[in-house]
Amino acid sequence: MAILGAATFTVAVSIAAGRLALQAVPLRLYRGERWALSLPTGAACLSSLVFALCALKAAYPWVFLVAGVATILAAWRTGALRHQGDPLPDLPVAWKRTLALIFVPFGLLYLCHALSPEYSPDGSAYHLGVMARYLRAHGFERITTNMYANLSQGVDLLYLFALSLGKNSAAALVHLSFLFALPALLIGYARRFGFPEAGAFAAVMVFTSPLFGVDGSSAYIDVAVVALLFTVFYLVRLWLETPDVRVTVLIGLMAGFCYAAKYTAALAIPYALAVVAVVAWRRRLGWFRHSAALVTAALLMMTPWMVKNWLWLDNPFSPLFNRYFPNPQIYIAFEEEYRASMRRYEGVTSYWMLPAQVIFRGDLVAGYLGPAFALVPIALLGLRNPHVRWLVLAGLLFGSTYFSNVGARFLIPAAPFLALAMAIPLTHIRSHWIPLPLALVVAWLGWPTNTQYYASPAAWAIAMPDWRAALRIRSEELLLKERLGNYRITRAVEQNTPPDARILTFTALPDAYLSRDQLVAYESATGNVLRDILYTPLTPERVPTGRTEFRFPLRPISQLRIEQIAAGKDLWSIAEVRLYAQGKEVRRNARWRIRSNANPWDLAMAFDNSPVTRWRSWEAIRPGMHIDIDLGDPALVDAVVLETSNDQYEVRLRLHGRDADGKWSLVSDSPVAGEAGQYGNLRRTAALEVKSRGVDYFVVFDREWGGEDFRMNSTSWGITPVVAADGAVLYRIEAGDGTLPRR
Amino acid sequence: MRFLAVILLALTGCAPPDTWQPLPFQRSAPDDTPASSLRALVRMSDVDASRHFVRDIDSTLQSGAWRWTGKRPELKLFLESVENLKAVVEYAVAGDTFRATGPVNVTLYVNGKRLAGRRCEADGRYQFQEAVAQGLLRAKAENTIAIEVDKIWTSPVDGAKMGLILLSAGFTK
Repeated sequence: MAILGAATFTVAVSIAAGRLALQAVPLRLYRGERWALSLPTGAACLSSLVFALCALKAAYPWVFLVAGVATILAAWRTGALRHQGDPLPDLPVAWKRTLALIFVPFGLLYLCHALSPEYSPDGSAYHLGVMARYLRAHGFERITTNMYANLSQGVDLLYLFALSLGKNSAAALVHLSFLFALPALLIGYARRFGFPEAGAFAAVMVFTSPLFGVDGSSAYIDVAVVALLFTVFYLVRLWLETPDVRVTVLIGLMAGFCYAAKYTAALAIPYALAVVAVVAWRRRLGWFRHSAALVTAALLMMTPWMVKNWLWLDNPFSPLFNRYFPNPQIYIAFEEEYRASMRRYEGVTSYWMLPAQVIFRGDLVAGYLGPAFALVPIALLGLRNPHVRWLVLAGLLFGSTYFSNVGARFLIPAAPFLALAMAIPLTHIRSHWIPLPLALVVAWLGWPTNTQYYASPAAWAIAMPDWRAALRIRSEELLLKERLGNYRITRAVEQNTPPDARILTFTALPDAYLSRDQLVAYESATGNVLRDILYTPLTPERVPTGRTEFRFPLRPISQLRIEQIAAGKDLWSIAEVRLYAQGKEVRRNARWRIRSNANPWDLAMAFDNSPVTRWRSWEAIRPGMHIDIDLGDPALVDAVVLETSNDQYEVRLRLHGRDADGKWSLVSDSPVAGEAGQYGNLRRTAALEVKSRGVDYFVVFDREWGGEDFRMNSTSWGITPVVAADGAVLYRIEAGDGTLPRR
Repeated sequence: MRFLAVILLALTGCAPPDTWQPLPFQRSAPDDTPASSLRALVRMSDVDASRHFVRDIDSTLQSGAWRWTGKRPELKLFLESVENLKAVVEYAVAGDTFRATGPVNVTLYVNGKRLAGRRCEADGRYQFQEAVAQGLLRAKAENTIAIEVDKIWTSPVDGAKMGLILLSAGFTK
């Protein structure tokens, strides 16, 4: 009941806020579309309120409760909740019955799925995990170790509101409300503009799509985002009839909220701006005034997210664009590698495989839209219709980012637009006997027990839910153990570590069920470095067995510059920089200073006397990268030695020196390559280094790199297996005589 | 207010590019006991492989992957536990030595006890993968693994004795 109550309250507050917002603009809305538009519009208002409360560290359940009740009361007292406007033009009775026949069972199916304990991959990992963390902290926290926490979270903040009053499932139910709102928006739009059957058919396509079903009834955000995009599209179309600047402002706010919901949805802004500016210019409505109003309103919604990231992460668009906003949180090379991996999923050897994958197979792209989407090219037959052209244009624009991530759900932003564009010419056939039965076939194909006839069983899609678990008749634990792969080890970690423990993982554990500070190796620069350290003893290429030596006549030197002069794809790295004079190492002292123009934040690792840490440029080499050493007082030097790993073949170096008089000169451009000496127990050294960085525990799955080595050589590492489950082991790093001070 | 304070701290906390930094805390190698520096499985390419050698394994790593052995190469390894372990040795008979020696017999020993044997009728790569009885092993202690070849090749030029090519040896689950 608490789950259902929390979700209903969140949706009710959103609708109330939306009704208030819509009341403030001079739009002539039909009764149905006012209700349909109020959820996305109000979601923008509620999300902004939650953002403000989080920024003020006032994210308490009672604060949300008071704010929510006040919003509903305000809407009630101003009459915003009353029925307003005429009913929409009617939908044929046959279609009404067909929709009821389809929507009721699918609605119950989704409701049951959303009510079940959350076990979706991203939902249980970060959508809910980060919100749970905010809730524990009563507001935003500076999270530098999880790149997903840096994405805009406009929809997630609605989940935070629901989560504070209910359980995880309340968040999924809030998302489900958008899945219910989307068909209402499609049908509302279609009824207003005179093609109700097409709206009904598109609504069936979208609502019964296995991908929309599973995504929309989980704590994801994609369906909410497309509902927001369609709202912008809808409002822009309404603006053409009522080009009032207050409507322009509403469009701007909603387009800006699209960015706040998901970065890629920022495309709503250029779309809305282009239409408003061009139409206002052609109709002499004051194009600048409308454009400025739209942009200002959009920025109002976007700026808080940019400022938060800029102040806390040095990058307003974190975790993207790190090349333009270099920072110690996300490495440039990591971002590029991650983006490349998103462009080409494992097993997808050609883009020609994608149509079949995203429409009906789904095993390689994490889901499928459903076979009905194979009919989308029919939209081309309707291009003479301006509505079809607008829909196709919007669909192509909002889907244009798809190839940056070829997962099927990244087509969700385009799907409803293309479905409606396709349905318009399809339903122009002057008989119900084709579209109506076709809609029933589409729905039949979308039902979970029927997808086996065409889809891969490995694809992410809606399955028949466990209604006993949804109603909590069956224990939540049992369902999660059954359906959430890493649930047992996650709970084991929770039960066997202290509350303030930092846990390094190489496969993300679901943060929604873990209150510890989890550091996933591939989610931040910190994680990247910890993985690099721990993997060094396991990977010969990482061990600094290489030695690059610059030799020159003995001379007094006050500063040195090691310059990299080649361009290439390699990353430059140095485990240790050592200076020599007549065969003896020049002792480092407190007057030494160092700097670099590439990844300066990690430079200390080239001067810490540890063979398991290394400074890496973390961006592809380019001429002019350099490391500088200021010796404070001039010292006699005749050799500079770089201890390096053997995974950088393109790097070319030269050495510059500054003498006691302050003059710079080229010291050597012909270093000699050699082999470095032997090291002690690298495993123990690496474990202690990780421990010194505040990580006392790590989890390794048997299938992961090093899994067997950690298990077989735990004494050598100085680690103790604490607990094992799900094919993974939680290790504790033991302190020892060589323990380093905490960093 | 705390939010604003954190923001200010964050603003001042990051080292902008090209700013001079002091040297970090200098690390020293951790105290090491002989046992804890050994592992259960050793690849010849491992940087610390040589600390596991007992006898008859050349100190020079060839092609970044293998080493020449003498007649009875032996390694010491540390085992945490002794349940369900297999002794694994990856080795090869070189074409050049095989032409001189012909087929060779190779025997696998664990802690000095014979575990298995094999006749190599041709040159090429071979592997022992034999289950080891718990009683033959010592938990939380050093154990040895060895292979013995019955015929070795002696260089007529410098008298160097070449047995097998060793790639890895140790214990695994």
